[in-house]
Amino acid sequence: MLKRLFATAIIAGGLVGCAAPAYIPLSQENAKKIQTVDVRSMVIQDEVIARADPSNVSASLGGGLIPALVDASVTAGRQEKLQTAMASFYESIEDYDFRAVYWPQLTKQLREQYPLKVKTIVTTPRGINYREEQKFGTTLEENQAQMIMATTYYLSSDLRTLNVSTYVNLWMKGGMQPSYKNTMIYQSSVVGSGAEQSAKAWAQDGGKPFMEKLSEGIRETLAMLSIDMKNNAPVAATAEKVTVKYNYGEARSADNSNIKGTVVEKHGNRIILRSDAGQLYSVQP
Amino acid sequence: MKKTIVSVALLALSAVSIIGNVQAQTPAQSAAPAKDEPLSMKYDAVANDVPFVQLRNACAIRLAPVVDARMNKETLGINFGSALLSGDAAAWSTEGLKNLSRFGFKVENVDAGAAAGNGLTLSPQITRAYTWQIGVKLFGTVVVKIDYLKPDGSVEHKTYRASGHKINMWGANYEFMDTLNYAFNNLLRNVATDAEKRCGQRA
Repeated sequence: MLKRLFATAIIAGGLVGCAAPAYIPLSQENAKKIQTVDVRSMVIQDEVIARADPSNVSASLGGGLIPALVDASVTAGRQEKLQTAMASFYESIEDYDFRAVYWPQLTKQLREQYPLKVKTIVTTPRGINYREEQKFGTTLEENQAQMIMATTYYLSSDLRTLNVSTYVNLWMKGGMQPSYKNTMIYQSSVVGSGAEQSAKAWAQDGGKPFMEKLSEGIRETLAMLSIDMKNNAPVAATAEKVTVKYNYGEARSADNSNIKGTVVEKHGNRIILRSDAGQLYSVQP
Repeated sequence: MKKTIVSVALLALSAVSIIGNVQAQTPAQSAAPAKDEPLSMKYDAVANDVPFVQLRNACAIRLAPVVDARMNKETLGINFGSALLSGDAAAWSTEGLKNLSRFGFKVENVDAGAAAGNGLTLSPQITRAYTWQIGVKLFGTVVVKIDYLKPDGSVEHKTYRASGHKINMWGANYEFMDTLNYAFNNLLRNVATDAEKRCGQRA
């Protein structure tokens, strides 16, 4: 048992000590090397989750058992409240399958629109951890690349917005870290006034508002995947800078209410921007 | 020695918290050994928030085996980024429903598609079983659909959804299974309440 605790602590220590960059653009040199890409798309979730904001008392107090127990209790309370608010939503939208909608569209996009030549596409609910990903660096050939994608979809903690988040790591021969890495985040427009009222609004007409935003989220995610690979050079000094509202749910505050970045693309009533940290966001300002 | 264990526990719990927060953003980007063995799905009546109580009007229940109708029969979630492979969810949930006996129902096993008989005939399907993590907390959700066949041949349909949770103490796979057992026992209570209402005949 003690060994196990040590192991957990050591793993976490490693994570904290080696915070990797959130955005690694693909260099021109590496882009030229790649002849084929094998893709693994992972969707872990079986259905949409309303995700509570985790309590972080222990972080502000520097850790410890009591703060950790407080965190656990507060987080559980928040999540239970959300589950209760979501009851009517789940009654209306019980049998949809995100994977069945998403993967065919992703496959088509990667085959027909993606800037790199995709050789194989594996779609799976099976997650793999970072160490397993790193093994690709030792098994790939010089002109091959392995792309790992994971997509999550969830309602914000105030239930007003749907978020679809996809992270991508591209591995090449010899790499201990990805040659390309980024996260694409779609956020829907606001639905309802929050909590149970929003849950009911999403579920109206047999869940039509939810399914429409989910489809929009898939479209925007696929667009961002290609955009990021085509246009991942450092942002030009002349690029239009913007600050747009972003719904952080119950965790929103004066300092936590928007995203700053540069415009990458505008279409319809939506905007795709690259945040100052490099992630792509699709939002409706 | 006790002091050492407590100190390490403090560190580990803080560490798990950090991992949980990282994991919320990037589910596959953490470091733990990969395991390809399915999770041992063993029903546990002890993983229960509220004690089972005997219901006054509990009757005879004829229980057909649960059908695994999940869209994803392969996994139950992830632990440190690695897949939690599903065990036999049908056998697990069938075993769980047999515990309606703890509410006073006289439970008899019948074959799938059994005709109406003496008591309520339950034909269940499990449609969701999954886990997720937020910070130091692990959560599990189970959805079961049940057709109630009454002695007169009429059928009523009902869907049950419940969640359970526990603290992530050791980062172990079985802790995720614990959340599913908590979820199932929360669900079982609702099934028992509904079944009692439909009882036309005392056990």
